[in-house]
Amino acid sequence: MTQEIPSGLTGQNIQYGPFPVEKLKRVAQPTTKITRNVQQVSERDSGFIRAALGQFGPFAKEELNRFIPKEAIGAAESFMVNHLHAIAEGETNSRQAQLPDDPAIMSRHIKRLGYFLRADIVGICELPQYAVYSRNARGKPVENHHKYAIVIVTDQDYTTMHGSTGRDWISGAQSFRGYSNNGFIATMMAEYIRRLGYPARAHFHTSYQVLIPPLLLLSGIGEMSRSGCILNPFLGLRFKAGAITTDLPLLPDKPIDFGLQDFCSKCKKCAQECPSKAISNGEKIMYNGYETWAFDAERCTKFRVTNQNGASCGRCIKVCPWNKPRGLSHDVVRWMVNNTPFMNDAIIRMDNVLGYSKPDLRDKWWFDLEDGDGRYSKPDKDRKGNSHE
Amino acid sequence: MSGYHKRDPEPFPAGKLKRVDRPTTIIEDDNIRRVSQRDSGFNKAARGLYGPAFITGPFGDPLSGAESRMLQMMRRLPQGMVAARKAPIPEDPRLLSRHIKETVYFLRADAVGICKLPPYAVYSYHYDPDNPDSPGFPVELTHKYAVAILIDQDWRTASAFTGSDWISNSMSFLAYSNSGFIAVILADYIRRLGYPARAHYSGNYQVVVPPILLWAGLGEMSRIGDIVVNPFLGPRFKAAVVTTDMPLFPDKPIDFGLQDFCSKCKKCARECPSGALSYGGKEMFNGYEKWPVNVEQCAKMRGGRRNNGAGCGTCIKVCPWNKPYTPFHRAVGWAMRNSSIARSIAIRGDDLMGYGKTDYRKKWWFDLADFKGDGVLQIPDKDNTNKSSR
Repeated sequence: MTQEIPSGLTGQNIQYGPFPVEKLKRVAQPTTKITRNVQQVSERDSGFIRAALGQFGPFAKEELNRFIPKEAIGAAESFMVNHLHAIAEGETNSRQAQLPDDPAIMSRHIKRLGYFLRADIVGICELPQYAVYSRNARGKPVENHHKYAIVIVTDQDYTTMHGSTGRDWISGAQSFRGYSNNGFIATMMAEYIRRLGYPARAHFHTSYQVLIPPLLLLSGIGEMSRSGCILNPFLGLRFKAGAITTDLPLLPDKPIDFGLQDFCSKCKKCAQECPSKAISNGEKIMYNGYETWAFDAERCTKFRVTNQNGASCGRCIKVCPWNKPRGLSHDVVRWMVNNTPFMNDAIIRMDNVLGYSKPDLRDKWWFDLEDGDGRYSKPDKDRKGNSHE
Repeated sequence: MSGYHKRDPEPFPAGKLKRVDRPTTIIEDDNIRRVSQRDSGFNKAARGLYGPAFITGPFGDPLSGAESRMLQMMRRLPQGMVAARKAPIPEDPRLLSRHIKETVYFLRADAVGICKLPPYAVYSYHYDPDNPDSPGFPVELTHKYAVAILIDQDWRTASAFTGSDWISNSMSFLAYSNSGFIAVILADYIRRLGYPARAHYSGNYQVVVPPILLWAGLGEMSRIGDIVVNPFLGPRFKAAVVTTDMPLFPDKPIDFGLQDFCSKCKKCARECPSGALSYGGKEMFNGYEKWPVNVEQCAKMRGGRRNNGAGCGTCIKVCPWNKPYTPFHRAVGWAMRNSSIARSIAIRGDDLMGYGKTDYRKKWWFDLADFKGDGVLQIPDKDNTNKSSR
């Protein structure tokens, strides 16, 4: 008996999720070069692990374990995501289920499933070996030869960002809103695929075997931005991503082009506003085979970990002109960036004039509280010593 | 620019609903016995009281199996240590209520409500699945307040399923696992602020949810029996609860005309495949005024091993309040909340416009189940569509 194809998976050009990602312009290659010279990296080279290893000094090493849990909502979310770690992997059913022999149908099914499980965006790409870590944080070799990666994206909440400076006490909780929900969705989706008889593994905070940015480029979630992070046209930088790697036959998405390269070359707002001066004002460079803007991971990590006037930092997310709510006026601007790039300078100036990078305290709903020695107290205002010096 | 600053934190305009002092159905606070969890439909089924044909262990279909693994992982997480000292936050119940609601919406819930925890909503005994014949553990829960967290079971899927096919269980378990996920995080957060708190969710409830939903203003009692209907989600949701001693300001119950609506509509009773719902009037049951429901028939239909579906949510699907939140349905919803005539017209219109039918154009899942319990997922045999739970 063959599997009947559900009618909801046969139609083309239907918007599957909350954002019209299906309407974006697709291109064969990402808008920034990925050369053949990309080397696999070890998870030990990532900013936070380097901080844990003491490479950024004793204060960063000491603060690493408390920069998220020192704020109570982020602490509760990270408590949950740490438990999710236990179910990132699992046994694959030895018998494969009877499924349609069509990767396009299976891709649509997987995307629908992702949105059913409440993801904000789902994308699919082939898993390149250079995106797999060579070694994990403990220094053990990583082996992952799955063919495909399913990328899961969760918004960090516009309203909260609107009430925040981007570097105050809710910043870590916003990150972990993304991390915990990605973990929630990715673990269930990976388990579902394993039950269908195909190997699958969930990758999210605490359980990554893969580097997420190249997957975001290849699966058409976003383009490389000046901040060094991948930027999505609907969410800006205001998201976190997880992934599922699998051998389930899928049809990959294509990268997108929404005019960001020209925009970022003119707008330098993230570089100007970054409290740690980790983002470059200059032109793109080549870094480990990727075309990207120069980014000082040490400064960024150090600032986030040792921020004494907040928990972590997402100032670049906050000030980026792409950090906007849904709405017609923002749809119009998105269209203009793509179709009338000569207007970009004016758009960037308007963003400043309208004051988008300021916190609107009417939207502030959280308490500024810091955990010290097991009790939460009000942090001192304007404490010194939070910077990278 | 300032339009959305006068915002309610709610995605749905719960602030505009008519509030009343008591739920629209009678609750005799002094005459309600606390019930034991082992007497709930599914636990009776698990204890074998409804016959042997029940699925025990993993679920038949792959998606609800994956979702229940999440709940299995979360089983150990409902409670924890309370911080030794209270955080210096203002002990203003109104402000804390607003803060807790904002936090729950930040954690991606669809609706939130707060009430005082009625003592009769606490189970007398907690069911012990490892020892089904024992009365279980006595429940000691004296928290003052309850925060109810609602998760939508997905409109698009609800319009594409028959009501009792292979996605039904997955819809329930999506909402169970996500509401539980939020409740665990919220309870942990409140404990860190120095107040006791416990999360209650599928596999871990110490409270009966419906009275909490009524008092928290999240819905009214409906003809479906034990099910509370929300004016924006209909019955298409599952709820988790956090009980706590943090001083909160309770919401009030709501009246959106559902008692009048359900007394006329009867669509759920007409469509229920197990015949568990009543066409008649409300009755008193353990101090609650409610429509009667045959729990055994309902539980047998949902938990029974069938070869044409896993679980059942036909009443959820066919209920005229199960609608998407579009401008048209917002307008109709407003009229239904405010006018008895509009309700009568809407009941006719719902059938005429074909709501409650299966829209196969939206179907996205595969019909697969582990029929023999040997791990092999198979395609159900279409010709063998016996509806019963034998």
